[in-house]
Parts: sequence; C-alpha cells; structure tokens
Amino acid sequence: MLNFILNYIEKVVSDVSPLRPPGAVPEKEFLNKCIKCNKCLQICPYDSIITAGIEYGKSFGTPIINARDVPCYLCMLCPPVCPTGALDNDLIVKEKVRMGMAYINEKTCLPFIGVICRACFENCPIFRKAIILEDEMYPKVVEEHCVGCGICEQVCPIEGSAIIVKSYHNV
Amino acid sequence: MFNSEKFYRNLNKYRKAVQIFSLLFLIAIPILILLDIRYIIGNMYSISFWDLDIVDPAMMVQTIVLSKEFYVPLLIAALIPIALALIFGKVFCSWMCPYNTFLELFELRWLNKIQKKFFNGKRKSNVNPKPYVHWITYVSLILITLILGVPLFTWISMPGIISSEIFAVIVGLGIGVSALIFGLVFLFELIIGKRYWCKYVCPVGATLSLVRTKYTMHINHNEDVCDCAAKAEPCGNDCPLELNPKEKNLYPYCFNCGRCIKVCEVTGNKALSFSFVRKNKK
Repeated sequence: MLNFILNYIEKVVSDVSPLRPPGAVPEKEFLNKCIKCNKCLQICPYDSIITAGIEYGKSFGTPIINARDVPCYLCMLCPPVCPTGALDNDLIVKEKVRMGMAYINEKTCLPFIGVICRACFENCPIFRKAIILEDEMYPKVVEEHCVGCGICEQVCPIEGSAIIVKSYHNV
Repeated sequence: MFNSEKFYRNLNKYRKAVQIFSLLFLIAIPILILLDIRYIIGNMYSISFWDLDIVDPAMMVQTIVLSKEFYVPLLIAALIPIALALIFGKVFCSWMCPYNTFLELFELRWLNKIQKKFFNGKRKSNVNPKPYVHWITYVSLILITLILGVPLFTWISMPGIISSEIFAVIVGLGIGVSALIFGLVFLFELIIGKRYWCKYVCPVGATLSLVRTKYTMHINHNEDVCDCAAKAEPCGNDCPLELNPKEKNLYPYCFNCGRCIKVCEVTGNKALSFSFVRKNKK
C-alpha cells in the first residue's frame, strides 16, 4: 500500500511522459492542448491507444500507448483527427513519426547472452533502418530512424521485454 | 403558416425527443466503433461527422488560455456551436446536454417534495440572481486554469465526462476518475438545491452565454396580457432552473428550454413567447 502511494506520488510529481500517440507535441504542451475527446482512441483500428488512469496523476484521461500490450502499428489515422493540435495534424508519413526511442537492455537481450533471436529486427516497421544487426547477430537501435512505435517491445520474447521504448520527449 | 400555439404546446415533446436522440447517439458511437464503423467519432468535448469537426467552445477557450496560441482548425471547429448559441442562446444545455437530461429525470415529484421539505422550505417566488455571480465563477475558473496550468474545464465539463464515461464503459475501458467528479457534482446537486451547477458553475454553458447579443433568441414577456394571480406564477414554478421569466436578469442564466412558455400557453394567457427582437423598454 505504502509502495503504491509512493509510486503514485512519484508519477504525479515527475514530468515523465508516457508513450503518446504518433505526432504528439512535447508533453507539457500536449497536456495543455489535449481535451480528452477520445477521437484518436476511437479511430485507432488496433486499440493501441488507451486512456491513462488515475495512476498518471493530472494527465488522467489522456491517450497513452502501452507498447508491451498493443504497440502502435503506424497506420497514421490518429494525427489528422485531433481537433486541438495536440497531435500534429499534418503528420502522415510514418518514417517521420518520433513517438519514442527504443533502448536495448544488453544484460537480458538474447543475442548478447549467446542465443540467436531476431524478433525485434524482423518486426521493425522501419525495416533494416531503425534496428540493424551488428555482425549479423546483435541488434542495435539507430536513433535517427527509430520512430518509437513499440512493436519491438511487444514482440520481445524476454519476460518484461529486453527492448523498451521510452517517450521521445524524455530523451 | 407557422402555428405558434401548437409549436409552443409541443415544444417540450420536441425537446425531449432531441434529448433522447442525443443520448442514444452517445451510446451509439461506442457501439459503432465496436462494429468497426468509425465515421462518427468523439464525445461532447469534440465530435466528428466524417470530415466535419465540432469542438465545444469552452474547450476552445481553455486551449487558447493554456497554450496561448490560436490554432485555426480549432477556431473553425468551434464555429457551429458558437453560431447556434449566437442565434438561439444556450439551447445546447436544454436540448442536448446529457447532464441536463439526467437531472430532468430526477425532477420526480417525490424527490422534489423531499428536497423542498429538507432544504428549501416553502416555495417562494423565484428571484433571478444577479448576472455578475455567473461571470465571477467563470472568470475565477479561467484564472485557476491559468495559475495551475491544468485543463480545468475538461475536468469539470459534465457533458464531456458523461459522454466519455459512456464510451469507456461500453468499449470495456472501465469507469475512470472523472466519474467520481460527476458523482460529487451530483451529490452537491442533491444537497445545495436545484441546478447550482448549470446556473453558476458550468464553464460549458458560461462560454455559450458569452456570445449572447440583444438579437439572440430570448423569452419575451408581454406584461399587458399576463393575468395570473400575483403569487401564482405557473411559469416560474415550472422553470427547471428556478428562474422567474417575468423579471429582468433572466440571462445569462436561462437556457431557453421553453417550459415556461408551454405552461403559459396551457394555464396562462399566452404572455410568454420566444423572440429575436429586443424588447422595447417603456
């Protein structure tokens, strides 16, 4: 219980941004502009976008993406429907999306401990650009191409995922 | 020719039909989305019909206050409700707002009796509050939004909360925190009395009454034909907002539901009517 309260306070106080839908403006501006009309969430054909609960503090009710459950498949339907410009309406090219950045935990990632695995490499929508294989073996995220969709985080076979996407606005 | 008597008598029926239709609409949106039909999306904060965006003007005001910039598509999307309010007044509140629909459901006779017994005492003649009470709350809400930098209008917009909770429950996202805010507001409604929220606090209605001009639809009282006994006032007794349509300062509070007009048609001498022209002061 105490742990929960401490976690809650940490989330309320810290400015850490959750993963937002593609085209989201920087977190502070996003919170100023989002009116919780739920349109991005309603247009999403994959149910990737969900609403933030009370554990997100003052940003409750705003759209977030939990990449481990359902990542963003970059269909680019949501940016044009935002009425207030909290999502950049003109963003339609998926390569230009900057939702977040993927980070590989080399302690748990399978190739780094000697097991062949290409799950993130093969599923990356910016194929052979955002995630490359070094020495045909070790995955590496190329920062200028990673869009932060979270597909790699979802497909990672490691418990808790060895590749985690963090919101671009925290980078 | 336009039969005003028949129109006023049936006005409440039309209004109820529109209220039920818009409530069914809010329920239909999540059902259609579950069926993968995504042409009409949104809720009472903002709604889209195909490519036509409509945004609640209160949300537009809030976004401008918070982000301090004018985003043109947002201004355009707020034009339809602003034009509606400019011509017909706060008809959004009386014809569409789900919170008003919900409260009218609770205008049951037994509940009214209990409320009157415990909180209001004996029914007195209605007095219209001074308009500045309304504007003080609105300005202070905007100031709180500015100082704290939080989307306060979004948090306390009852139509928005109800519509987004209907969506969340139907698609299985579960009830959110905002349902708690709705519960608190409704609890105070039961304690404080009739419609404190709609009259004094609600930022959505307040924003709509910002655009009122002297040519906006209002209730016209014809003193010459008004002949009910001095204390009878069937019009005031039927007012959901406990206003007195015969007195001044009716606006910005009145939301043009037309119930007083209907009562006046039925029991009175047809002294009340809607009007678009300014009343000549004697």
